[in-house]
Amino acid sequence: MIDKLRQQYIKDKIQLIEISKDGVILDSDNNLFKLTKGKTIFDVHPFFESIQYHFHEKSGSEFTISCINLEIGNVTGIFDLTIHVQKDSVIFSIVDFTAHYKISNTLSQEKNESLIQSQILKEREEFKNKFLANTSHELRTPLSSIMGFSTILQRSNLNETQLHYLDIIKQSGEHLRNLIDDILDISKIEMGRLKIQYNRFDFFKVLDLLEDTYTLKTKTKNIEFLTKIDKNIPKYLVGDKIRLTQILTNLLDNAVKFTDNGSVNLIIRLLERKSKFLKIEFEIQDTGIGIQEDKIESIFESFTQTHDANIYGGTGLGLSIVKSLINLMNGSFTVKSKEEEGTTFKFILGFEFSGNQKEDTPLELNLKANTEGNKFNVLIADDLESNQLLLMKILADYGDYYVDIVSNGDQVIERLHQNPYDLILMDLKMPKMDGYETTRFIRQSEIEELRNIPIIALTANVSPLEKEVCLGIGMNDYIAKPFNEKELIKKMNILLNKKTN
Amino acid sequence: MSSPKKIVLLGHFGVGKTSLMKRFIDDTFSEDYKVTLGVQIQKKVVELKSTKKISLIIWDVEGNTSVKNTRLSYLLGSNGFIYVFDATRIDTFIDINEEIEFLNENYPKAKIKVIGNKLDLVSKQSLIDILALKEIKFDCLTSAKTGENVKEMFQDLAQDLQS
Repeated sequence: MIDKLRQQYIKDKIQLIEISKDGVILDSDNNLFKLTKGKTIFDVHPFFESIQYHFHEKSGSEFTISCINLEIGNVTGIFDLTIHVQKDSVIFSIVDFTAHYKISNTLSQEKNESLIQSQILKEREEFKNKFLANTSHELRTPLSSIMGFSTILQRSNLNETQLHYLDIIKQSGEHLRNLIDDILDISKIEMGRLKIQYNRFDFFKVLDLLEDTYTLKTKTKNIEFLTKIDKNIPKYLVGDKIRLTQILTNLLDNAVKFTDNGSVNLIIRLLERKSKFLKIEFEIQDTGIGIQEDKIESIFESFTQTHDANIYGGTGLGLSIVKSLINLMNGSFTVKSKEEEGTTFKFILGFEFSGNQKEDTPLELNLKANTEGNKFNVLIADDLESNQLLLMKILADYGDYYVDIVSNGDQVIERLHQNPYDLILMDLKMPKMDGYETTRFIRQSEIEELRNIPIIALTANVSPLEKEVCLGIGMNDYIAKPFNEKELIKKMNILLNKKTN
Repeated sequence: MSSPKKIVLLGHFGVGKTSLMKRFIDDTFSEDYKVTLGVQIQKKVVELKSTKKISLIIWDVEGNTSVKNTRLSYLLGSNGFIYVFDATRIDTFIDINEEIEFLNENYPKAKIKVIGNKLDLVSKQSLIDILALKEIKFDCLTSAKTGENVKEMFQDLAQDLQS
């Protein structure tokens, strides 16, 4: 019986072959492959040719090579081979493991395919992210000049018509900046990189700003803007002020855009208060053109526009961002709409009551540097002439600064060794030595005054990590382009006044 | 003809090692990805510039994220290595310098070629820029699909092995 089983299970799985040191087949049991004595093993398969170096190892040595795919005659399979080196010959024991290896083949195939697929998807996402960041940078740079010079031009001696045209240019610039921000936001949301920041903020201040903005916007369209805010809502809450403003702005912008008669209403109610947790409902009603019932579902999809984009403009990203932000803040929302009658968006968000309800002392906008009669020396490092001119013009108009301009990091280092500076405005993307490298160099300087010089990064790169990177390498502050000149001056003066004190 | 040379194709799975071998040996290509289990061995005689001939025995081994995980028995006795990476997947070339260092240290006599495959799927210049940025040295960019540079790359290695 044992012989029978051996015959059935082992004999057909193992072949023993003896060859001479120069590869001539001396003996073979031919259990797997039919080999002819006297012929060379090298003609059987090139595999044997490539293992010749083992034949001359010390007698008694054994070497195993596993999982070899071989096709010999009409036999194909996956084998393990052990080489037994003898004094005058070499013996191969070949074991057929085809069935065993085939099982793991399926598993490996599935595992590898899924890994390759996920790597490719990751690459695509990263490419898209880099592309968007780069495009955003390239768009922001000229936009910074358009917005900055428009502000400067507004202060010059212009007539009413010219001021009106300039206002249109500025508004268009703002609009363009919002569109770029939307595209970046949707990309961050899709990649899961948008994080909600929970901080204490003045809820009513947010609403006051919105009220001012939309009273003005609705006035130009001859429609009404009405607000009804529940007075039981505490003044100071903990939540993400920026993202709440973004949601409300997006919804109010849409309401105003699609309403030509009647009104836009913002109603805010305190729904629930349990311990320090609050639930607030925001309702935005309009009497505009409304949405067809069968299209309501699709309005929250990216790049979807229900109404003619040629008439109403936009990227179709606003509501998709709104929906994602509400979800990220664990909120809920509903939409009701009737064609030709209007639309009502409602969303509910949770906030925390801030233990500190003490009125904030308004920070004085410090637009005056504490020069004590002396002007500050500021070094501008930017390779773009338009940016250089813009910064120079702004600083000259404020009058508290002497300004020097350089175009790259090498020149920054050179100038720092020639003149003492109180502050550097540093572009990040510059030829030769960029802003990052220059900052690192300055922060490692042996001269204490250089090491401590305040540096503000000015960059069109607004990726979420950028600010962290800038502060991490030792910059004191960060301003994204296109920037608000008052914000620039304020940030500069905080650092300069700190330095003086 | 001199003694045959053992060449081992190395690299992550799915980078196109088998496709490169098939393109070189049979001048064929298939879009389907089939995992290689263990090793497949094929032979081709290559004519050198000097009209001398050389036999290349190519070991197409299963993909691995690191050479260190490859079965030692596959690597022993090699005259040359072709380290293949996938130009579309950064994970397949990000650690390449360490991989090559390992091969150089352990197989100092073997000739090594670093190959970026799937060139048909990427912009050549962008790829070169990325590789420069990551300080990755490579010898050749190929496409097993179109055949671009495949024959030349093997020919080049054969020439190196002869000299």
